[in-house]
Amino acid sequence: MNRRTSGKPRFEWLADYSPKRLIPWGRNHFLVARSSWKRLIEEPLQTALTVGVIAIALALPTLLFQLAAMGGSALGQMNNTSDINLYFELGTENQSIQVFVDRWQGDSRIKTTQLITPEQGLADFETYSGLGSILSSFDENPLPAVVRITPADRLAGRAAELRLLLQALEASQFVESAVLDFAWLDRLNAIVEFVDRLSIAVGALLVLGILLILGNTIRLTIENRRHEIVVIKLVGGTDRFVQRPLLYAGFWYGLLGGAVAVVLVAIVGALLSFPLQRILLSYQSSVQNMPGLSFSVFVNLLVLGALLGCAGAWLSVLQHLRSVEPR
Amino acid sequence: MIRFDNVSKSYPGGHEALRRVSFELPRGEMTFLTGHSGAGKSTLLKLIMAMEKSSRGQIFYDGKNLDRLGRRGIPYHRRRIGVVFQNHSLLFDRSVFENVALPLNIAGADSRETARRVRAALDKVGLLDKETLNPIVLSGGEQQRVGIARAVVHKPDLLLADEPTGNLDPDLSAEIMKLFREFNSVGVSIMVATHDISLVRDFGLRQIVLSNGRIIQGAFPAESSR
Repeated sequence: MNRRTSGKPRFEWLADYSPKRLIPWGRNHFLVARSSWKRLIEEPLQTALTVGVIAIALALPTLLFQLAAMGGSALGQMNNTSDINLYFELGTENQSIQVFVDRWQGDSRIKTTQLITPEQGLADFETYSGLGSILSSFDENPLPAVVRITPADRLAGRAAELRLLLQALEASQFVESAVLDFAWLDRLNAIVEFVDRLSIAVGALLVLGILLILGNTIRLTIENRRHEIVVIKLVGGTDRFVQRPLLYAGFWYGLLGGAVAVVLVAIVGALLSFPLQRILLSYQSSVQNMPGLSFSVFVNLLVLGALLGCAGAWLSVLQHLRSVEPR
Repeated sequence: MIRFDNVSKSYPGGHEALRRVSFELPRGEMTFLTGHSGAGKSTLLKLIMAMEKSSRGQIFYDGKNLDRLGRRGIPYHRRRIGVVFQNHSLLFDRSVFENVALPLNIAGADSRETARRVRAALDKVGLLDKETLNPIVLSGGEQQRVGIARAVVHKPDLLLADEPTGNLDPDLSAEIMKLFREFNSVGVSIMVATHDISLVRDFGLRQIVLSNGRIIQGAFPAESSR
């Protein structure tokens, strides 16, 4: 090993990593974290403002994202129940229809088929509508034969493939029309996708906002402590020593912001869940993942808040701390 | 301990604070740096502290060139030096004890060692009973002594003082100088920048005199001995 025998080793600062230094180093971290926390509490208004902004910026995209996820799963359920109704031409022989059903039964895109003959249709109509007497005034059964086709599960929510299947079915002989409410499904799909993307876009903007807010708060802190930083640098404080309390301040801001965001998500989620449930019930959908608090949301918000806090502080430190030098 | 080799320092705008300054400060010596205000005393101290970089020439501290410290080496260089400022540069958001403990915290000393050394330093400057107070309630002389305790608490090789008695009356000034002599007697090298000639005369110590950025007397130990 090529070691210089005289004078101070070039990398004297590496000595900071030796094991016997780790205990005071860890203690220093604890003390710095504690004093950063105290300083935050000593300025409750400033802290509350910063924490509030961070909390709102975290809670808003979280709720939007949860709404989108809920919409997506509600849509999935609705797709499962979206059967295709094939209406056959009047007077088509039951035998021809049976041949048709047998042929399509084997198609991998189809889960089940159910033939409702005009006679059954008439009977059902009479039973459920109570308007049988109107139909009995017709000479002939006015109802067409109907085949109800439930698409395979894998097609759920895939509008394009459903549309292809529908077109193929409609092109068959004897089929008068094939009906699936695409417009409704498309619209819902589009809304869910919109909310999904909105949550990502809003989330990205607000993350940027958090970094800027924190950066500015830490910049003000650096300005307020200019004298202290100068004195510390004069008595041999390293950049890391000077920036440590600032990074911890960012960490606490972020963690507190995450904690308040947890409360916001819980409150808003609880407020929304009742009306949302009513909307979903009206569409015969029973969705479990309503917006609101869960363990993973709790952990994610705290971790995300703390990370963003550190990142914002670090960006500010990178930009502003070097300019504070003893003169 | 310190050697200046043809050091010049000019600031942006062309002001030349130091011109071809050469001198040597042996280890363990106490030296005064005098001259009219604006003669370059503060600049010279800032160069030793690596607060400024020389424009030309080289500065050696313990045989090592300060130009080669690098940004990361500067804090470790400063830890070997204690500084006393005219405005004492204390932090008023913490107690006297915490002010004095700052260099030890920075160096990562453990809490027991820190407490022991801080009390020893405060005892030395006669302020042991004031450790829990905020320095803002202390008198000017007491504040200056807190600053001195902070400068010596980590046992530096070199003590620099920039106008340490600038704001003090003659009695207090003499007291502060007496403290410096005591530190010097246990082996600390000391350089005191002052324009207070009467203070210097009483000691009969080596004196480096600056005028308009040049050393006009005392560049080498032999010259100044009387």
